Amino acid sequence: MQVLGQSCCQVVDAVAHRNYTDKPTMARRLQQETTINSTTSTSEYSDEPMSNKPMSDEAVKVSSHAQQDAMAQQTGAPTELPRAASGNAVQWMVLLGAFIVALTLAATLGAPVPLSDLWSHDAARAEVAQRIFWRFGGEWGLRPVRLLAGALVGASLATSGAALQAVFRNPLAEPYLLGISAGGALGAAVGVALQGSTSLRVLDNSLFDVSSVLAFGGAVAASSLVYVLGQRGNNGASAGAFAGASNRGGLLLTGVAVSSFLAALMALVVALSNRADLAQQIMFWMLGGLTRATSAQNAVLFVSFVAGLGTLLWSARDLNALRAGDEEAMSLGVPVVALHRRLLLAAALMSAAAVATAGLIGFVGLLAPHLIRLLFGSNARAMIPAAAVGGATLLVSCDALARSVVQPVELPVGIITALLGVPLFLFLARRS
Amino acid sequence: MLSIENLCAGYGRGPVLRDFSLRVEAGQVAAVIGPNGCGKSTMLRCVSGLMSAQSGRVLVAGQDVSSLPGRERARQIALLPQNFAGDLWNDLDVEEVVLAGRTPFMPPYGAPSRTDYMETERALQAVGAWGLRRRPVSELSGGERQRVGLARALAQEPRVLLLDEPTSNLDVRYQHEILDVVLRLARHQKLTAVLVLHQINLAAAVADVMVLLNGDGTTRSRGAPAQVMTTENLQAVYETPLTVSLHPRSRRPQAQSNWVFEE
Repeated sequence: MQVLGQSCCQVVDAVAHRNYTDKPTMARRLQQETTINSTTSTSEYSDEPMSNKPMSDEAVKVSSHAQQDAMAQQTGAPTELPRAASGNAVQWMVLLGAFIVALTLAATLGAPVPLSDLWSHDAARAEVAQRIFWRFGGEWGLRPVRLLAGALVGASLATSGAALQAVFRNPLAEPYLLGISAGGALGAAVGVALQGSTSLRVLDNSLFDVSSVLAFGGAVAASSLVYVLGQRGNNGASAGAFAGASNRGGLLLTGVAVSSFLAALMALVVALSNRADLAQQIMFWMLGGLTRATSAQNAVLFVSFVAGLGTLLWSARDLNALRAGDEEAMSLGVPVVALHRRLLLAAALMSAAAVATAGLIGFVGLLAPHLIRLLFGSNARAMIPAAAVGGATLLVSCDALARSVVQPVELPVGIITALLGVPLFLFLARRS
Repeated sequence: MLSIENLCAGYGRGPVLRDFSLRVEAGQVAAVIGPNGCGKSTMLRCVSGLMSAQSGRVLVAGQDVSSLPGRERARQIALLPQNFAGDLWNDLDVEEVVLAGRTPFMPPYGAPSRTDYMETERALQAVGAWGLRRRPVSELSGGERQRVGLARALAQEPRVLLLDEPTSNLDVRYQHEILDVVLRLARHQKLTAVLVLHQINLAAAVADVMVLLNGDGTTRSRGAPAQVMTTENLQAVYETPLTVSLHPRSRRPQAQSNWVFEE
């Protein structure tokens, strides 16, 4: 094979040799390292771009790297499966194991009665346990609802964070830090305020949940605002339709400004509303927690999460192309602007549903995708679903912690995620 | 193969590139030179679909590419941008980057097929970067990075290869190496290559066709290197004292500067 390769190389050298250059030895060395396909076989390269060309037909001079490469080409098989194709079986087992452990711990930790009461012969004790851990009278118990809410909120926030990081090309992008959660919270607050007002009583009985719809509207508005401001900020003079790397600091400043503005609007809604319980509700949203989760909200969460995740997975190819840069993706035929729009919409949908249920929970969308990227790499096909499971694991664990650290007081889960997330945020911000 | 007809392009305040025309056959290399800001890169961005032309058209094998959807166009035309992979925040390895060149052939969910892996391998072999496939792109030298960029472009199986200053940021050896690879790809794989270059002598050394642009984006001269690279043309465009002579071995025109630096 070596001999064949050498002779082939010489033939091609002769063809390629141009009499005006006295090639330096370095250039010669490159030629030896460089594979040149024979003219006969490669004419089809340009004529039939779609054809599946067996490698064995090609007189390929093999690079100096490994002889087994050459042998593999003779049989027409890729030498070894690329890493991307080799799967992430071990990582998935670790992740799913962690998820199951987190669910189990969260299901049992910090409950007023032991789990074993479910099988108690004492009917009263069994009823209490059933109301907490399982089902009673056609209603799901507190724990299943809360666990499901935690998993869905965590998964939504993490998936949303992954989408935003791809759009803004910024590892620090996250629904909370960019003010998208705040937009959702404002929408939800307006919804609650409207529900109380007498003039709009009709909304109370409508089929859809006004708060959730307005939360979605608020999140879409906030993400569009950050996107537009972010684009303007860093590419006024740039040649393209959008800048390559968005200015990281600038994007976060925009997010902070948008968040503050929306928080002020939320305070305004409270001040103008005649509902006494609104301030308390707003306070709950600001802190973030899963105590108010209901089955109905879980249904909304589930639908929006599936829609959002589906959108991202359906865009996995384009997300992967986007990793190398907006312009590079564009030159690969990816409709980048439309893709950005689609991703922002998906991110807004998921964060809005999360906020309507659990208020402002920060840093899950930062922590989960980051940790998953370390474990799985950045290939969207693995990374996106793994980030969803990772986010669910993270929030379920944080919620278990929040319930059990300072018993019987229950901390807002947002405190725990911030305590974990801020150090990572600072680390990433300093590095970038 | 590639035919650019009366292309005008710019960013709002009037065209940067004016009435640009070029015809390049398969297997040929064209080089576009001109002073800074004359619209060379704008031309490439326009042809590769990163921006739309104000007027004029681009034909590949007789087909107007501006009417093609992005994916179809990307199977015809590949661009090696000026600062390839200079903007990565995910640490990708070489193989992942080159596999991205298969994007126009993949389904939306993006699972690469066997063909995609084979073309990736082929492209990496063709530029002599197969040994780098497991290396993170961020660790590559400038020359290696350009070769990987070239492999990514080849993975698109294009008919037309556009290169935006492929030699910038490279030392002399790698400048020659990368152009050598491009030249041989053009000859052996019957690719049409269009280079935008700052180094006029390198352009004259490799090009079959040259275009010299004026600072205002109009075309000063177009044709064989010997026609384009004249003392008169270059002095007029670059507003610098230059003399063109023939390289003793290649018989290609080469410009020497007559600039006298202050003692």
